[in-house]
Amino acid sequence: MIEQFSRPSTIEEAVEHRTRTAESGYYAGGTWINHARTECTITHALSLECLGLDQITGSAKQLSIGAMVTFQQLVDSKDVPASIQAAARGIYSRNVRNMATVGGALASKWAPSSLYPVLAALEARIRVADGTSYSVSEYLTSGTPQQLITAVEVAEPQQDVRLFYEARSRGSRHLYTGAARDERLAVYLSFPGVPLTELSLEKTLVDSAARMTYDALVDQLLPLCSAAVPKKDDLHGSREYLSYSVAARVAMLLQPSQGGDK
Amino acid sequence: MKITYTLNSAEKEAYVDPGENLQSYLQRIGIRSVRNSDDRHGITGSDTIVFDGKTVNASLMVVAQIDGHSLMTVESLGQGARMHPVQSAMVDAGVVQSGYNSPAAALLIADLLARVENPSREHIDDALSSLYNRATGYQQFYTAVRLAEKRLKDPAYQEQVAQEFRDDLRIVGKNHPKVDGAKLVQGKKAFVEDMVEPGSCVLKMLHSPYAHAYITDIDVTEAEKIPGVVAVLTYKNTPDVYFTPAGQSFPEPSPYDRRMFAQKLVHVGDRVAAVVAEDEHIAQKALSTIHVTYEKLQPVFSIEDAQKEDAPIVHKSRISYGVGAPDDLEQVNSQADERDGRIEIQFPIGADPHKNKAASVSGSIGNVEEGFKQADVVIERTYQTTQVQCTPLETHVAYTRMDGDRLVVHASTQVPWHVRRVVARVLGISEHRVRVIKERVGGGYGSKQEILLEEVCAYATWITGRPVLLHFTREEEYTNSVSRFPMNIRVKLGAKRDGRLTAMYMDLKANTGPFGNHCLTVPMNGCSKSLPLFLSDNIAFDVNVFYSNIMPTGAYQGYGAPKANFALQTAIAELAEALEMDPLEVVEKNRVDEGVTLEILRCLGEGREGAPAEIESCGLREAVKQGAEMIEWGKKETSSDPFVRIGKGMALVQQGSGLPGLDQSNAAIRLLTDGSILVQSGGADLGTGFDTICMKVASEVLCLDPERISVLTGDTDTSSFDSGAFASSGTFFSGGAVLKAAEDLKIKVLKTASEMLSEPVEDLEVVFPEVVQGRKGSVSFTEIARQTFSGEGSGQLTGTGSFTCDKAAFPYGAHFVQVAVDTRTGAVTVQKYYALQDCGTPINPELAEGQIYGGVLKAIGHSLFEEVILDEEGRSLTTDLETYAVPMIGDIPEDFRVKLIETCDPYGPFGSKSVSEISMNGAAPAIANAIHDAVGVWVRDWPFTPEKILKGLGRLN
Repeated sequence: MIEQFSRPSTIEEAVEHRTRTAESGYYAGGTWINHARTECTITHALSLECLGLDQITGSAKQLSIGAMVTFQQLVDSKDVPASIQAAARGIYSRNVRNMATVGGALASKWAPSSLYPVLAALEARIRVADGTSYSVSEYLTSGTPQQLITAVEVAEPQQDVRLFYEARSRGSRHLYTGAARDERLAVYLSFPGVPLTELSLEKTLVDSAARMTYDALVDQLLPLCSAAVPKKDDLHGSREYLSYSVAARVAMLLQPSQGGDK
Repeated sequence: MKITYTLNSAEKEAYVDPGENLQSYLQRIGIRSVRNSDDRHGITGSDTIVFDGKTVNASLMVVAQIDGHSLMTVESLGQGARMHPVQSAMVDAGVVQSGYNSPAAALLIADLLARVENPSREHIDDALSSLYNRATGYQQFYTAVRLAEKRLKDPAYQEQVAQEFRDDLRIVGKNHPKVDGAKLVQGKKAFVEDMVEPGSCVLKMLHSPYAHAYITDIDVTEAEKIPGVVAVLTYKNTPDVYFTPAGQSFPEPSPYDRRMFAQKLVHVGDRVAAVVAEDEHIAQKALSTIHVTYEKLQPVFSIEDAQKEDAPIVHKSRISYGVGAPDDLEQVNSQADERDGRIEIQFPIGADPHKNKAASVSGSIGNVEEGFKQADVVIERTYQTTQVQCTPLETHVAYTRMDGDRLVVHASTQVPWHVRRVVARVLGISEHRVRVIKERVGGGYGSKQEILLEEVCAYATWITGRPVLLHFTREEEYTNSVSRFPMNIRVKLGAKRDGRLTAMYMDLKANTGPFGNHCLTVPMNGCSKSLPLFLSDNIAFDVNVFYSNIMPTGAYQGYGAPKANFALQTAIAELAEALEMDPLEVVEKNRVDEGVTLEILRCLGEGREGAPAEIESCGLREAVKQGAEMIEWGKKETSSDPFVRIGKGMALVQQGSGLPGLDQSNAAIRLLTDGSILVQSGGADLGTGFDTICMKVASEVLCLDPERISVLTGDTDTSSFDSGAFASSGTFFSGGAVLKAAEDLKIKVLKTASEMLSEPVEDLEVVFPEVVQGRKGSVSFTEIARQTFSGEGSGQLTGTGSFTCDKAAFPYGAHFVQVAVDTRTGAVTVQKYYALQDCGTPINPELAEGQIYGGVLKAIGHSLFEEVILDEEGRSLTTDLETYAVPMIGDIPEDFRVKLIETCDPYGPFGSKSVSEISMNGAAPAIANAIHDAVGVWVRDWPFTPEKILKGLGRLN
């Protein structure tokens, strides 16, 4: 239960406060801290709203997304590539998109968005207050609540990254989301409870995909996908189904001429 | 912490607990419109506010965040009592029905129109992506937005939002603002939660962690010592009275197998103990100190397992019968375990609880075996349906308080009179000591035909004298409210080569879960609302219903019909395939029509002897004809994507209009001193517009302007008995009583006018507005009222009406659908859905359309998305709206249309029949048939998930 709420005016002040007080925690939009799935353990919230982290700056060569940028800002910004906008729309509710921040979603490590695989596919770097940067995978593995995310940086934002996901209905949880970069050698997947996993494709398979029948391609992909999906059945689908479904989606990416890649 | 902020343009300053949830804070300071209906999941949007110009969910914020910021709530829209153009557009478009999140919708639309000029469908979908709407199916929001946009430019702008009917009538059959629309869309005091007084206690429940167990020990001493704890309730200190939560007319066909608290626990989430405390925090703390020792028992979950010889017995109770006890009852009871308590059965329902059988019934006409012998083709198929949940926005809630020596129950209920009866019975007091006030209902759909919490809340107030609130969390709504019965339905059909049916047989097995509420009537209704759609001389059915330890089941809109209709109509399409005929041709060769007598209904009498019924009005012929034309039946559609196949399907639908010979409704209409009138009806408006029907019926008969009519309904003190809003009875029965009361008052008005004008009654007529016109003179209602209230007057004129009816009024319809199936992913997209329905005279056309849209979308939900999923221990894995996948605006068909087919029923008020429930019955069979048309796969169990489609296609094992 939050008993104190303060608004540091500089990043240094926020970090100093966080370091000094064990019970404190960074507070961005509040969406995931206050969400039913979170048991809020911090007693002193350090709001990040006065730190100037709500800017998107960039060019075709470099994009920097402040940690306090909301998902709806991503959707609305002309500077943000379509792949990240699509990932932001992975949160169906506009209300939630208006509240949820990029930094908050990353720090939660579970937020139901498509951001993790898309940022991973874009080889984004997550910058924290001490200047260190992490890949998405590194951050999700080793990032700590003590680290203040300041920005997400994407070196080549216009890379062609395709997103896919599966859900029962628009507002329901995703069974998985996935993203692949244009080269399509790696597909990044996110499942409930497994925020990021990588599906590595062999170049020979990618190169020959266009010449294969769709069914043959799915057959080739199935063992890889089966290894990538969680070991247990999902609430909304068996493990076998998840493996097949992901394989089908990846096949569609690899064979856009067969009506895929939508 | 001191904060300053702007609320609806007014500067505010407050000292707050910084971590308090913002939605709770706003409620606490009196902003009622910001409601909670998803417990911090960010799905329903009932908690929408505008924060620094952006719409957000207040439940996902803490109060400290608003320091230095600006908030707008729906209270900022409109001026005083006057609605904002967005709000009036919503009311006129018919999207304000249950109204629980109408204030949120108004904010979202106002925000959209401030951001975007001439918004597209995509813009509207995006704006309303934050809104869960269960009542009206979203489609009419497109009309509301368009209307609002025009009204923002021209506040006087009007347009006809829905087709109107009956040129011979002034207000019946015409679009007219719902009488409670303004109150709801403005977020005024309307729901149970709005009635809670400061200083009231809360009641929180300790739930069973096990699906099947005995309480061997329970220690509440620590809980009782905690300051602020007012009472702790367990099976040891609560009434030993059994009842059924089913709000049905007495004597109920449902067995009395539920006690306020019991030693035997029969589902995960079952009541173990309750704490009544000064606040929720204290109650939760006290619950955590209650020590319970359980003896865990083997649970049983499926119909198959419940039938086994060695199956765990859910109720090894002592059984009694009101009448008709079986001869071996004493021997059966010798096997009872006293810890299982009792089961009281009012009359024989084919139950054998010690074999897990809750009810059974069989019936037939003709000779089905002979019928199958005569057939050229016989098919036999089995269909399965899973548990699905009503999922109303407003979770179950009751607030009880004492008024002197009387108990007042503020309830969100469909059955106020049954609540009074059950509460009085459980408390052991006379009904005159209990007043039930049905507040506005934030969605019921059948689940509020159950008495799930009123009796325990009332008892807490009765023994403590304190006002008590019990409000289900969303998780409790999923674990303690009711859901559809899972069913296995085997259908056997025989037909001649030309498609004519020779015999129909339905073997329906249902899983009633831990209690037997509606255990006989839901499955029977499945038979009685499906089999009579088709004509055959030989029809038979068997119904067997079993207890188990799944989450509770009960009434849900459609009441068994969606499941049996799914089975029967899919089987008809499968029969057509076997006959190599067009399924529509088979339907047309066998469907019912006006003038037909339904003999099978003699076997389907809700626990009593039934009677054949003649179909007096039926719009099926026109519905099928127009629907087939609209969807271009027979024309094969193709997709530009070679992996996507498109198919079409259809299904007939039928329901009833109340329960002939069982239901009763009463109403009174009083002429007030200025000639205006007050309508008092026992009917319960669930948001469907029943109060508006009362107003329109009275206005039409008595020729009064709607502005001169007020309607009071659903209060057991101020209105007279009504069976309740279930079985599609509202318009037909409750509306019928209002019609009779209006006609009665009209006679009395004419009689008084006759004396005043010295003209015979035969020479007088009531004309609009509120004048009695004679040949020689006229007199206004005001003058008549003054005369009757004077010292020489006859006394207040009151018309009364009591409506019973032994005739059935069946609404009919035909639903047509077009789906696209992606053969790679198994995804099914409903591209087109056309619901053509005959509800006689639609009294409220725009609201009738809304109910059909809402019913269809709920049915699309159970066909494609929704499913209660339990783990192997019987714990629900779908206790929130993210895991229990409800349809949102983005899930509705791209082309979604409702068409009302006008007929005129001889018994319903102004020719009307019911409209809402029936709309649930078509989606599953129509979509299943369309999937088959698209990819040749029969999916025989809902929901039709991509996994099942892929299996059907042979892509998965």
